[in-house]
Amino acid sequence: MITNPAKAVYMKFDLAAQLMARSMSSDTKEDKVSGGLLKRMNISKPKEGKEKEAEPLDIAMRYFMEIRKQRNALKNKQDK
Amino acid sequence: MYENRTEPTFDAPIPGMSMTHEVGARPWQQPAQYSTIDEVAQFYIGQMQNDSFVEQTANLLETKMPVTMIANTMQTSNIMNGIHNIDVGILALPIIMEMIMYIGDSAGVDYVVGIERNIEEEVKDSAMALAVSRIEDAKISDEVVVEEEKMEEPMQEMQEEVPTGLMSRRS
Repeated sequence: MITNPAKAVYMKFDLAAQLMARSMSSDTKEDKVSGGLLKRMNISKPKEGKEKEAEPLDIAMRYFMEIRKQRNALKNKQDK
Repeated sequence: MYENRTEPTFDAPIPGMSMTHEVGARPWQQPAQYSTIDEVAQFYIGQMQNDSFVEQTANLLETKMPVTMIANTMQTSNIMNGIHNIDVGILALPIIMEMIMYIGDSAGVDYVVGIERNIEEEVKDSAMALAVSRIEDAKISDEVVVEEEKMEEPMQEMQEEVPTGLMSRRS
């Protein structure tokens, strides 16, 4: 039985966000090393109907990541 | 929270309490006001940017109330008021928590998240489980020894018995 849903869900989102941040950083490194024209064109091509296909979990994740980014920016500002 | 309760509680709903009103008379029995996570997230973010909310939340965080507890309470009360359903509420929980932490960070409050692991408690629990399993093992082995002893005794008696009847085989 889940006694604290906020804790259970937050831990999963936190882990997913960390993994996504890691994979995104590794993707950008790879792009810098082997960034061909075709690859760049594919990346810049707008994906039609992406909003319609987005799952609720993905939307929630997007909001979560965005707020976390703002939080990290605030923390960095406070540290300086 | 509930599993460590030693005394019975009397403020829980009694069986059949939900049937004391007509179906649909309660807000949570109506279709939710917001049905998508997009709408619900925007509702919470908009609500949390209110100055009075920010101040109240900062005060609560200062009292060391865990972020998880505040988020759970907000989410549950909005389900009760028919703002959104449970599924969307669960999805919105991390967004609410992150927003609360953002408020805490911007107010410079040293807050408690509520997801911290209590290692001492976990070690205590595991030590307790180990002790219980050892006691059970010891009990089982003692029982086996006692049973073996019991089994051995009649065997000896059987060996000592000498057939004495008329039809008995002569040794």
